[in-house]
Amino acid sequence: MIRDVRLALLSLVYETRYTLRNREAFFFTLVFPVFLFVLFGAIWGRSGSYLQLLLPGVIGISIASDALFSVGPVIRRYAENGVLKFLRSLPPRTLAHFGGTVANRVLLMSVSVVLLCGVAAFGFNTAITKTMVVTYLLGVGLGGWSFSAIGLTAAFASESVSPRGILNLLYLPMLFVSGAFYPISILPDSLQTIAYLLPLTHLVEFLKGQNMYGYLLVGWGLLFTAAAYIVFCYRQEER
Amino acid sequence: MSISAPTTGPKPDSTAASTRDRISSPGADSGMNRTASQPVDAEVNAMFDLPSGSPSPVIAIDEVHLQQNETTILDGVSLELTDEKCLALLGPNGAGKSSLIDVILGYITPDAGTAHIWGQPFDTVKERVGTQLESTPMFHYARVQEMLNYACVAHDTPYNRARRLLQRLGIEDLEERLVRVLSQGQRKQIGIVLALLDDPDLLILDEPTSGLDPFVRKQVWELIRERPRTVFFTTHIWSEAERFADTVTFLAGGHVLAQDTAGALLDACAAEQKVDVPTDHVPDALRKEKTAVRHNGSLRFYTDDPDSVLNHLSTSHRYSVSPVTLEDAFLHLSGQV
Repeated sequence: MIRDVRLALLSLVYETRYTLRNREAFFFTLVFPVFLFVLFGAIWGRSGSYLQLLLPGVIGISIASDALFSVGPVIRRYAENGVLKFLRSLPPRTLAHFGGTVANRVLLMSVSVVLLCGVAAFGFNTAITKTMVVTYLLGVGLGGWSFSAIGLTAAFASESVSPRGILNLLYLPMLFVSGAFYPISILPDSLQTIAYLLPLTHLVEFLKGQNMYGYLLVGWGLLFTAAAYIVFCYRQEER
Repeated sequence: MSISAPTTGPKPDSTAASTRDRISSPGADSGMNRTASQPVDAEVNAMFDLPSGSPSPVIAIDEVHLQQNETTILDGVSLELTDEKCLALLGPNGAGKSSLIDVILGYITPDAGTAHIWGQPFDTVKERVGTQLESTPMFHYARVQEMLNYACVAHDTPYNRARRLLQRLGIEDLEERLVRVLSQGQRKQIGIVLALLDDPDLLILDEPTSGLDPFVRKQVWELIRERPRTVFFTTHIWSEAERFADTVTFLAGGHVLAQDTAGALLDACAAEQKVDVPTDHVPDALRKEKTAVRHNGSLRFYTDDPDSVLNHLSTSHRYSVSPVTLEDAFLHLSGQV
């Protein structure tokens, strides 16, 4: 057990180093969300109310994209290039390694949230309350979990199609109707109905302070954790 | 000599029985060479707390069948490997070698049959087993030192052990490199270091020296044989099997074609020498008199008396004479010659 914990901590430290060395991962995890916030904030941020909508929106899409693209496709790559077998050959449980990986994503997403809050507060004079920060960090947990599970399911759903292809197909439409950059109320009624069925809308609404959407995120998390488990086991057996 | 005849299809029962009978390693006392089917040994060892030196097999594979996408990968494979012996698993690409290793390590569940290490699944004994797979798995943005340190923590082994192994292979300067910039050969060497990190009692190696130059191959084998231990390996460098393995197993089409010492398998060729003559250099008289097989643009004559072939050739003819090898034995046993 002690060795499992040591390995999980080491995995957290090393995975964090790997992310910082990987320029693409570093940019999309920490720089791009800030860039988006500054860009949209500079264009439409003269009214403070838009920034109150934009901040949870950008946090929501950065949590979703990080969780979707950094967990499922990476584990699929590990399964294909033998890293998963290597981890299984080591005495500690493989979960110890992935515990560190998950902690790494939570840490980096939390850093991203803190960075965005800092830029909003000091660059745009947006009022940031403790309740908002707590909600955002809860959003990291709930959104990170549910979108990781969705990403994992999609990554193992098809052997022939690239996981990133499937995930882009899921993510991009959600991005534009989730209310991250503008209020959902300006969308046509039919699109509004679709938008409120999508998990990214639920995450963004939760981050805006609509707590009931947290329960829906738990539902997505449970549903797709079960789906990811079934699909992963099926693929392992198939191999 | 006890080589099984070439088989053309699945013969689970006879294969299993004959394999068990045949596996005794060279030099082993056949009377003492017990199998997992003798529970008395296990009970006695347990009573006296004697885990090492047990006569029960280190690896026992029994009637393993595996199908994937309606293709038969393993077809009733049975093998046993006893303590401190070295077994080489040889066969052409697609013979099922890597799949068999996956079954032993529990990465693939077979459709039928069992594979055990010291009578248990791999997961429960992996502290004592070093593994090296065909392609060395790497975290792309890790440094070599980080990758090795990670494995050291996982094995509860001091990092000095990794450093010593790097020095033995002469690659200590790789420690600070990112693994993504390593060559295939360097990755292979790191894979060997990972396998040997905890000084395991059993090594399971999938092509441990492929892609390495002869000097590094020699160093790798010195490390593997640094102390007596049980080794199960696959290779496409068949001369290594001839040199290092106590037992050589030919796998073809997912089943065991033959298994014995390298020397006994070589005897299956029914000739000690082979003469290769380029096809366009073979005189008609020789073609008529001797039986030959086509081999890489040459005709190959198997004979105990090379002069009987060479007498047909003039000084202008090109040819080569060499002793038969395990490749020749495989070709004979698989009916290709």
